[in-house]
Amino acid sequence: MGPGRVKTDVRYHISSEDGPAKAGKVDNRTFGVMSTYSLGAQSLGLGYMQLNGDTAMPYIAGSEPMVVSEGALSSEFLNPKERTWQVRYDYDFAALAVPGLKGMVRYLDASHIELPTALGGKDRSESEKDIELSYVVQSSTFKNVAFRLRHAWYRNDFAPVASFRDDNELRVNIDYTLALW
Amino acid sequence: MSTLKRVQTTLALGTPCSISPALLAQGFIEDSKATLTSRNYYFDRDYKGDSAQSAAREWARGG
Repeated sequence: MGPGRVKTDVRYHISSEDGPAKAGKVDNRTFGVMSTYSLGAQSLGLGYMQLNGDTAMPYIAGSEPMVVSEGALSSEFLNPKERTWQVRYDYDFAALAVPGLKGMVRYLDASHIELPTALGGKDRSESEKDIELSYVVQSSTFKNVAFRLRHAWYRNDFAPVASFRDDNELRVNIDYTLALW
Repeated sequence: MSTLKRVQTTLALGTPCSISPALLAQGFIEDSKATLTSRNYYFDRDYKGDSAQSAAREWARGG
């Protein structure tokens, strides 16, 4: 599209219970779209996700569900009836002669959440602001050492006993990847 | 979701698909790749608002 590129990612997940249904009823259809415009080193993305059905979208504990809110630090944004808007900006510092350095900021804003009364009830909302810097060493003895620094500010209006709580979160990764063959 | 301490072992293997079964054996090792990743991971959660727990932090090492 002109000098830049647009990439649009659409995802649809359908979940329901089966067999003995030991986790209870599962009734969820999650639709997500993320559209990203890239020009040179910069990318700007806009996303929207909506959950329909009576329950949340299930996922294996500890895993990262592949929805458009993936990578959010403090919440999955997969509560019943939730609608999430997202804006995201990425920058590749290779354009400023620092290859291997990348930055990202994003904001997710969600509303219309319906939780059980004890956890907050209807019309709940949550939001998260994320910032990330990552750097992969390009050459020298430390080639392929990767650093990743992330910080998130997460707020919601759920009951204090809900599993997702307001927090400021910092994550630091130092990874080394060795190619065996 | 509440504990995201990760002690991770990553060994990735990839091979391309081949349409002909006769050709599948050739290049199975040559075209594959394997990597080993070692990770040091630290997280720091500062819980705000009303919460029984005020913070959680953890440093984990894995490979």
